[in-house]
Amino acid sequence: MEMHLQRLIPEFILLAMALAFLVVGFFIPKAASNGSRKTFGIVGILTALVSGASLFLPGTGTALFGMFIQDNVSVFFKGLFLIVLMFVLFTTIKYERELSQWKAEFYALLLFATVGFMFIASSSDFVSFYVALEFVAVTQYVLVAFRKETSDGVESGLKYLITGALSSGFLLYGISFIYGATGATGFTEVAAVVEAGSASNAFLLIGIGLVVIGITFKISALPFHVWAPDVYQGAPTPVAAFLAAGSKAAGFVILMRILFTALGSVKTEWMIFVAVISGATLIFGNLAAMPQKDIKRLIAYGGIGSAGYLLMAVASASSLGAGAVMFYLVVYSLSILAAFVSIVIVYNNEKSYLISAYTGLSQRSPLLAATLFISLLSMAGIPPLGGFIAKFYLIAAAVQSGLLVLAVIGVVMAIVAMYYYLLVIKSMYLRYPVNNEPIHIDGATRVVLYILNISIIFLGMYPGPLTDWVMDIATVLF
Amino acid sequence: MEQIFFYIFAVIAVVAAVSVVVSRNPVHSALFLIVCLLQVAAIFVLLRAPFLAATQVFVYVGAVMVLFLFTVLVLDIGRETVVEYMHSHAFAAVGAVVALFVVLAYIASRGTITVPQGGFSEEVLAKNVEVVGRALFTKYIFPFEVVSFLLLIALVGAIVLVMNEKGSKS
Repeated sequence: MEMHLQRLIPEFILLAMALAFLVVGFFIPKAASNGSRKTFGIVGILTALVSGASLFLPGTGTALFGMFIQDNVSVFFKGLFLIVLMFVLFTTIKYERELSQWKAEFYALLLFATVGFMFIASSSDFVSFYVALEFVAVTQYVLVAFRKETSDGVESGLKYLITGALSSGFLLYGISFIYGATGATGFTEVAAVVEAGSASNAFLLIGIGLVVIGITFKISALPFHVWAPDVYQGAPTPVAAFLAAGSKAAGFVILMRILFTALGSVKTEWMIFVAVISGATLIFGNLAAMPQKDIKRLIAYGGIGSAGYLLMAVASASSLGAGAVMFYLVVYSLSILAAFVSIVIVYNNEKSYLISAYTGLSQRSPLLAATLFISLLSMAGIPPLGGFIAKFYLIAAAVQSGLLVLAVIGVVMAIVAMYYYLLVIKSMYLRYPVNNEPIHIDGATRVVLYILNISIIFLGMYPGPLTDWVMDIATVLF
Repeated sequence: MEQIFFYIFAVIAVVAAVSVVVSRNPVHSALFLIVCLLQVAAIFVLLRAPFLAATQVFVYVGAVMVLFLFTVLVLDIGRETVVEYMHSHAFAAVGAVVALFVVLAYIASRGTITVPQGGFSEEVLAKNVEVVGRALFTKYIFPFEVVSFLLLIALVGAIVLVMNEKGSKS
């Protein structure tokens, strides 16, 4: 086996820049104005672009003695993580005023976390997966607790740390059972042992169950969903966007690798289990979202609901399901990012995350209101936006695999989701604002909002190229 | 013979682990944790992994636990607050743990348990440190390096979360 270090070039680029941020941050005078530190964000965005371009250089295959795999799935997810990173960095530039100190470290940690996501997408072994997962977790514990001078910042950091540590325990316990049953840690080796039927069935079942439960922390599904609302509320808003878009995608890529690639031959054993988690998550997330007064909490519960939809496609255990997950994650990430950019701009003006602050937004800033309109409706799944096609594929995958009850729950919950997202839209469009002062949006933000809105609409009107691509990629997993 | 020792170590480890959770004094908890970690090290010896056992004692019992004890003593947490916070959900926690145990035991009792035996070559037993070192720097180089970055981030994170920059209001 060779090292094939060239397959890690995209990660190396980001790591090098993150280390450079740490060093440069040291030399920047503390009294420097906020403006000079925006450079970090812009340099970060450019680095992400370079790293994204280098994704296509190294070709596919394993590296570092089979611990690291670069295939079409990992390239797809790495591209998604880098896109998320770019928009999160942009949001951070807009949000910077709220971060009292340690700005260089904040940007560096965002880059580190993205590298961790990329490692997760590329891990082909339980050992490298667990290490990459902890890498991300430690970065995010710090990012979530960044507003340490406020009590809700500390609360969210602590909650995230405790639930994260507990879920890691479940995950490790599960991995140890799978190792005990198969005697292997590599996904392909595990798959070979399981397929030959020589694995201990009882231990394997316990292992699968515990691993799936451990991963629900990353994707904010039941039973490890409790952190999501408090963390979204207390963490810096860019971090909340990063968790919502990046962490969920990272959780799903590894869940699909473990369940489809390593344990695909025993899918009858875990399909029902995942389906039950999916149904419970769908019902809980969407019903709990209804009474929320805070827009970040609303999106958090909505996010728990979408984890349920995504798990539905995972439970279907088909390549249609895997493709649907990837398509949904793209659309969902774009919608989340559009929503969070708007939330940050509104917060800068109103100093509030309450839904009541959005009253009459359409008269104060038509562009912001339209962005929230499009992104929230896309998350609710209304045609012709991207979210509709995405949900359609997820439900189709469930129906194709005979999970009819789950599909019905999904359709009913889509209607519930429409209700709570429309409440926000109603207060933006049909009410008069308390404060009539228009919200100023600078040129760069306008461009970003236009890009996000147009891509969400484009994916809804003309999903063909992307769906063809993801369905093609999805076959790699089986 | 080996099995007798295993059961001795295992029972002490489990009892100590339960005592960590139920004891009301945080210093006692820390001391029980040391007992538990020592038993785990002993089990590593039984599993023919002396290097792992030694690292377990050095790192966990030696470094981590001493730091932990220092922190507990320096922070001087009042006993009442600890008891109030740590034991307010005792019944629910015990219920959840017992339920999880029952479910796992049920599944395990339903299926056949066949665990593949580890292959101990003479080399692994005779040159344990060398074999572990070679594995870490060849096959497991990727996780190894990721862990080194993880420690760097933990360091940065600890500084960011604990230290106040000069000239800041707080």
